[in-house]
Order: sequence, then structure tokens, then C-alpha cells
Amino acid sequence: MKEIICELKEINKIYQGRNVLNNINIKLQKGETYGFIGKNGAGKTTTMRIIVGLSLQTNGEIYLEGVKESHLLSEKRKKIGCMIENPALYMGMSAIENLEAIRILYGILDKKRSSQILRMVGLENTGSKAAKNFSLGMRQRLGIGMALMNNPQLLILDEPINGLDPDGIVEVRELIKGINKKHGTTILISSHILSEMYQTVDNYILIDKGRIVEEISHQELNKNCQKYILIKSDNVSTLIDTIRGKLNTENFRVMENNSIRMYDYTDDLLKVLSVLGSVGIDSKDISVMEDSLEEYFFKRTSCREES
Amino acid sequence: MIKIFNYELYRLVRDKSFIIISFGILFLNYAIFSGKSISMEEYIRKDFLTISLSTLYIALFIGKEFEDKKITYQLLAGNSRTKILLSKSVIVILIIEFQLFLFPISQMILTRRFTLWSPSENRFHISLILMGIYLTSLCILIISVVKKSAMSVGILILFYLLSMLAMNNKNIGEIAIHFFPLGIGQLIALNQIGLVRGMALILIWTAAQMIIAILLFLKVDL
Repeated sequence: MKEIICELKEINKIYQGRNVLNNINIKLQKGETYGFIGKNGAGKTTTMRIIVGLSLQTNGEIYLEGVKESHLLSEKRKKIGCMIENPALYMGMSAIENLEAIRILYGILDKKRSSQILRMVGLENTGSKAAKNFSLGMRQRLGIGMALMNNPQLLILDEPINGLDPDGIVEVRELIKGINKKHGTTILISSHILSEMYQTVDNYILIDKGRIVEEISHQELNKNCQKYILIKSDNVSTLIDTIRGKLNTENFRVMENNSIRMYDYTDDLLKVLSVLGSVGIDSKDISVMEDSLEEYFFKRTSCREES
Repeated sequence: MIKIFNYELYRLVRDKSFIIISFGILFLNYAIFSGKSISMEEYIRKDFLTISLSTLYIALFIGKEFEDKKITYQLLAGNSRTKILLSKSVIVILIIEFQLFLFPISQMILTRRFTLWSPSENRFHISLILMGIYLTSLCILIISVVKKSAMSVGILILFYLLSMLAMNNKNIGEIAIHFFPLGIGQLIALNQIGLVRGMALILIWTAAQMIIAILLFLKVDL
């Protein structure tokens, strides 16, 4: 298992009498990319704000590289870069001046650092143009650049592609992927655009109404979203024996509601019908299914609503 | 602390509104006092405008940091909340003192007369320095509570209006002038109160406001 760079343990946040975060447990491993997914008001931004110290949890512990004491957390936060909500820019200053202000704040002596970052985020040709005259995409890139100034080990980006045009989305996506690949930076991104998250991150954290619904890897998600045969049965153990014995496959998952998802034979439904029919399973209990990413997330959150 | 100070200084010298408001203070003071031989008493009484403009600028300069969440960078630079607030207080004192002393110094340079800038006017200088320190704690307290520049400006304007009304009121004016630090500052400059007593009163106000600001700042979401 990789080193845990950030861990939230049993984090609760009560805001104006409302429980906005409820027993949040998250572990972020070094070098991994995480997509933080949830509806508006689910608790994504609040969780991110707690990690960087902008908000204070009502109870629970934050560990940064294994440290939880508040005076040591301040020091550990030097290794975090973030852009939460909108990029926090000095609108009257140019891109290089914005970066210089942050370089001075971090006490970085290397004066070339600002121009390096400027090149990294593709804003080297902006000259003395003030940030207020930048397009939304340029502002987002400058915001990411400012978050990268301290060469962070953990980069937290809240809706970094919000409001961007398709070109801007591609630019930001490539930038984020490049940062993770080149520097091994752990990245936590929140976004509503699930298809975009799918192309950017390796792990997903689903949050709904202040609770973590699921943590799932890219591979697991692919498996869950791929075409499968859904088989419902009151006698799951017999069904499992039949699948193993007669269909000769282990590529299935037992679900909570007395059903099995089988990922083989999706193109040979007749064979499945005849084999399972022989053990008394009705054909109406067998169907071929496929979830889109959106459907998957919707089901995961709506399941909770029903329960 | 030095890093935050350097950072604040970097953005201050690039802030056009700082230059505009500083020139505004100068211009208004010259407009008010032009063609007159300025007495210290008159200057102190009319200095309210400088105080108001200067603190309103602080509300924008620091309040915007909170509003736009630029405070995040300061947290991620490894600073505790207390350190951030104290560092900001240092730069705020410098800005306010600069703007409070701007007119007296410019007057001295331009006229080569030392009406407001001679060793005999020490009480006046001390009163301005104390006012700067007190106003800093007032601004920091208001900004750290409301965290919005526009609202901070509104509260400061309201505070000044209420203080002026109270100090100019026939019935409570005498008490108010001894109670409000702005009034105590005037009394020090005009030699109507003991220097040590006046200084102690203002510094107690300042310390109380700073302690409340820090305690609140440690507990609130930014």
C-alpha cells in the first residue's frame, strides 16, 4: 500500500444547525488522483476547505502525513496547493506579478520559479496584461499555477473546469494529468462533469448529503459500468454453483439484493437462458444491462435516498 | 511573519487604490485647510476625514483578501491563524500611520514651516500614532468578524457616524469624548487629558479589540 498523504477520520461539520458533513473518512494515497463527486451541497467544497484549514471541523481528526496536532498541521499544509471555488487572483496584477506575490509569501528564493510556473500553465505570453482581462480558462490556469508554486505533494482543485469551453477543458485536463505524471503529485478534484472526471482521475470518492457513499477505483468503476447480465434469484448459492459449474466462469459479482452480475456471455444470452432455465430461473429474471457513468453515480446516490 | 509582511508590501505598492486614496487624503486636507493658518486643534477636529478614508481603504485592502479566499495562500504557506492576523496588523498600522501623517509631512515639506511638525507638538504626534494603532485593531476586529470588504466599510462608516454623533451631543458629548478612543486621541493632542492616562486608555481598547479579533479568528470558517 502506498503512503497515506492525507487522512480524514470521522469528520463531522455542523453549520447553522445542519449536519453538512457526517462521519467523513477519506484516505488519499501518494501519487494517486481522486475525483470527488457529488451534487451541489453534498459537502465536497466543505471537505476540501477543512483539509486546507479554511473551515474547522466540529469533530473528527485530520492527518497530514500522519500528523494531527494543529500546530504541526500548519507546517504540513505547506505541502498542499489548492484552488477552491474561484481562482483567488489579484485582478489588477499581471500573471507574473500574481505568481511573484505568492512566491514571496512562500519564501521561495528562486526568482525563476514564477516564470517556470508561467510556462507550465501556458501563460508565458501574457506580458503585463492584468488578470482581470484574462479569459475564464486563463484565470483557471493561473489559479492552478498559483496552487503549484510551492511544488505541492497534494493538489486540491474544486471544479477546475467549471465554465470552461471545450478547448479550455482539454488544456486543464492535460495540465492536471501532466502534473500527476511528472511530479507524482496526489490530486483531489471535484467536478460535476463526470465524463471529464472519467478521463482525468484513477479513483472516485462519491459523496452525498455529507456522507461518503463509495470509494471506487477506475478499474472497479469500469467493471461496474460494463455490460453485464443481471440475474435475480431467491437462491443465490444455487445460482452461484450453477454459474461456476455449468457456465464455467468466475467473472461475476454477488449484489446486495439477491442478484448476481455476470460479466461473461453478454453476447450469448441464449446459452445463459438455457443453462439457468434448467435450474428453474425464469427468463424474466435475466436481463442484459449496461450503466453509463452518470447512471452509476445516480443509482449509488438514489439507493441511499430510498433506503 | 516577515514573509507575510513582504507579501503584503508587494501587493500594496501595486495597488492603485492605495495611491488614489493617499492622494485623495492629501487633496481633501489641502482643500479643507487651504489659505488658513492651521491650528493643531482645528486639524485634530477635522482629521476625521483622513481617519475615515484610511480605515475604509484598510477594509477594502484586507477585507478583499478574506472575501476572495486569498487567505488560503497564507494558511498554505505554513502560517497559523494568529500569525496571519498579527502580520496583517503590522502592515495595517504602517498604512494607517502613513496616511495619517501624510498631510502634516507634506505640509512641512511644501511650506518649510513646522506648524504641525515641531518637537513642541509631541502630544499631537503621539496622539496620531495611538490613533493609528487603535484604528488598526478596530479594522482587524471588524474584518475578521464580517470577512466581507463592503460590509466592513459599512460598519466602519456607521461606527464613525455614531461616534461623531455621540461626541457632538450636548448631553452625552462630554462623557463620549472620554469614552471613545477617537475622542481620547483628540483630548491627548489638545492636552486635555494626561498623556499616560490617555495612552493607557487607548492601548487597553486596542488590546481588548485585538484579543477579541484573535479569539474569533481562531474559531470561524474563513
